[in-house]
Amino acid sequence: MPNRGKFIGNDNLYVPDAPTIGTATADDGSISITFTAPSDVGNDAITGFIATAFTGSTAIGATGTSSPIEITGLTNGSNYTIAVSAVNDYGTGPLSSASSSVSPLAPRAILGGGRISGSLINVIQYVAIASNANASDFGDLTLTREMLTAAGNKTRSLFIGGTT
Amino acid sequence: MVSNVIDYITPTSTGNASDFGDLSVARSSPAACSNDTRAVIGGGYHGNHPEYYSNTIDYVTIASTGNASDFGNLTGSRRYPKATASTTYGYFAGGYDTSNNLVNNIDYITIASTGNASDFGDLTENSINGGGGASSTRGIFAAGRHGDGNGYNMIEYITFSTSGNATDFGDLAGDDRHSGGLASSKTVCLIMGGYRSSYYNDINKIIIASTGNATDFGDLTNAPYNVGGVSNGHGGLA
Repeated sequence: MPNRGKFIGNDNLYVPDAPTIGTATADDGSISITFTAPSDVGNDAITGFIATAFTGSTAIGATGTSSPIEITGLTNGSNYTIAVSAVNDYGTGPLSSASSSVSPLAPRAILGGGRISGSLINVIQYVAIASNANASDFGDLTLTREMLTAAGNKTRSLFIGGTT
Repeated sequence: MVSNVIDYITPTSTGNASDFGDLSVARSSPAACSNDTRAVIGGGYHGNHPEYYSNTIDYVTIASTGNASDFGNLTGSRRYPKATASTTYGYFAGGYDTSNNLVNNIDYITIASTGNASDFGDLTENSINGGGGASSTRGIFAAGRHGDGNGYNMIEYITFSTSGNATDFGDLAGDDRHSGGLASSKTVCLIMGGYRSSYYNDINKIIIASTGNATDFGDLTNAPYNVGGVSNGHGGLA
């Protein structure tokens, strides 16, 4: 129940102030957003948070009781910004500022270089891991080689060492 | 010729690779793993004689370009190891030691630091070649070549939260093969290509959270082995 006799905010609003937005991290069909709860909780304790992903005129939300909140059901390849609001028994507070734009991604398996029979190759090929499809051509390595290794993150894949 | 080349691509696009920088020491058949920030490269060889097998661990900051820096050393020199990573730790497994024996050692390092590797546990068998994949909790090793000529279809896993030996996961679908490439999302690991008596263009799929045999996924554009496999959504990424 609203705690109307014990006003604990400092700006005469009954609802909480906006959280401070943190970092948005994209995954396959989802984005996880971190945030910091507002110090001014309004006239009652915060009961939860709403994180909303915006792309064009579309908004998709998710709720949670603490940071981070994961928003699912998003479209891979679309750009989203995220904003978070805090909730107490009086209602929903204002939105935070928007996060940087991020895009959910469908992870790709990427294979580079190697040997086919007696010939070394520089071929890079890829396939969407969720697809069950055949691989497609990606491009070429800078150097034809086998017995190389590879590692990477969401934005860069490295092909390392080997024998030419 | 043994290469020190590091090149890179943007995995969400397509196109040719660009130059990133150089390894601290040119070497063939190293293993590499990464978290969001760093790629760590361990082992390999820069000459066929065992004295040229390497225990070097290098690292690069993925967001930058530039040459690799020294990280530390594996617990021993290893030719043809394989690697996987959690968000915190990198794991290097198997390979030839400097007596040309296949080993089952699994080393681990803390990716965000520098320093020498420590012992984590053992593979289920001595093996070389192959690669690694990962969910947020499990590391997968497969596509290895075994000294006794058996077990080429073996898939095994480690649990990141508990130091210890690897556990059998299941078997590849279809014929035995080795030296294929691995790449995973946080839920699915693909084992691609490889060679034994034939060259293989098929892709095997496992669900990392399960244990069980692989299923057929699809085909590569060709049938390579001695490849480098990587993904942009593996369990080493937050």
